[in-house]
Amino acid sequence: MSWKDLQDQWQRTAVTPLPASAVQDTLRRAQRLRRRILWRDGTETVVALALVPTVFGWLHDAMHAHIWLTEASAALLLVWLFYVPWRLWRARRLLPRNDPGLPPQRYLEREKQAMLAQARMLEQVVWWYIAPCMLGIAGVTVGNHGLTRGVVIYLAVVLVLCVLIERLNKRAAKHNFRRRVAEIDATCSELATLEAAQEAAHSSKGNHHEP
Amino acid sequence: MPTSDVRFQRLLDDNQGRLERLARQYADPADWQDLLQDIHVQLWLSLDSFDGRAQLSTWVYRVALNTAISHRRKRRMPPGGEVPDNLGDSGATHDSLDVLREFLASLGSIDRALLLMDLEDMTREQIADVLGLSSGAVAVRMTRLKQQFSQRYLEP
Repeated sequence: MSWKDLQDQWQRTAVTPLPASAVQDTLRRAQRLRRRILWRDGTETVVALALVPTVFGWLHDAMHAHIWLTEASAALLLVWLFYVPWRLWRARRLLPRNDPGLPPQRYLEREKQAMLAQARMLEQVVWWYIAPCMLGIAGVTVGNHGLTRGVVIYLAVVLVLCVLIERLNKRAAKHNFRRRVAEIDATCSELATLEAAQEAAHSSKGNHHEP
Repeated sequence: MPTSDVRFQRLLDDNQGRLERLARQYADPADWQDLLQDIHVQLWLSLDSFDGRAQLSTWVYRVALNTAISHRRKRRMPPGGEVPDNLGDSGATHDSLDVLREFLASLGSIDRALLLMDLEDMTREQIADVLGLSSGAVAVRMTRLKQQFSQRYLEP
């Protein structure tokens, strides 16, 4: 059996007929994808904005009561509630939308940049997400209630949760996004190897012709 | 039906066979229909960005291939890359296409795409256009892959 025979057999493989609703199914799926992205993008902002009145209330009360620790901590939390959605929004805007119509090398490079950006965000989560939140909560709690036994236990629990969140994020960065980066690099290597092999074959033919 | 829908319907009709065969090779048996639908979505979302510099068919295949490669990564599927020693040598009767599919499944994403496009009767230039490579590079690699397959299966 020749390669041509295999080609013919391959192209004669039975194919599932397209349903009459194929275009409508695609449009519905595309809309669901868009809604998922909007939901993901919007949730963080909505949650943050929902907490702003509460934290603003703490700040307001602390200013009237002249509790500087609660004031400073509530102010930190308020800034944090605006910073987190802004940072996430900025990260999304800095990366161009990937176009699957691009040649694979360029498409993969953009995917890689997106994965690296995600990985870095998760690896640095303690600095821009956990620490400001934890410091703010600790400051407000101690400022309002003093350093009682109950407050110390509460803060210890919060600290343990923060360490857990940090570990989980770093794990996700390593096993999810960094892993995908490595796979993208492997596929890019395949492409680079193909071109290099062609150049090597071309130059060895050239060498055979030299006197 | 709006003009864009008609255009898209025609695009799907013209490419259905190739796209389904690609999806079957880049996804599990339980998953290929999901991948095929993802490919349809990406084609729909990207259709406006097609600038006509390439042939529509090669652009379609490129979109499908990039989507399929991303799909494998998201599903954590093994990359392939090693030709199994016992290819075609098991006691069971192997249909020639089954052996070909096993061989394709053992290849990396790009090598697999090369052979798939050749099986779909795409020219070297079209394959090079899809992959963003030179025709020469495609030709060299294609020859090697076919030799690998022939030595294991087609030759006595």
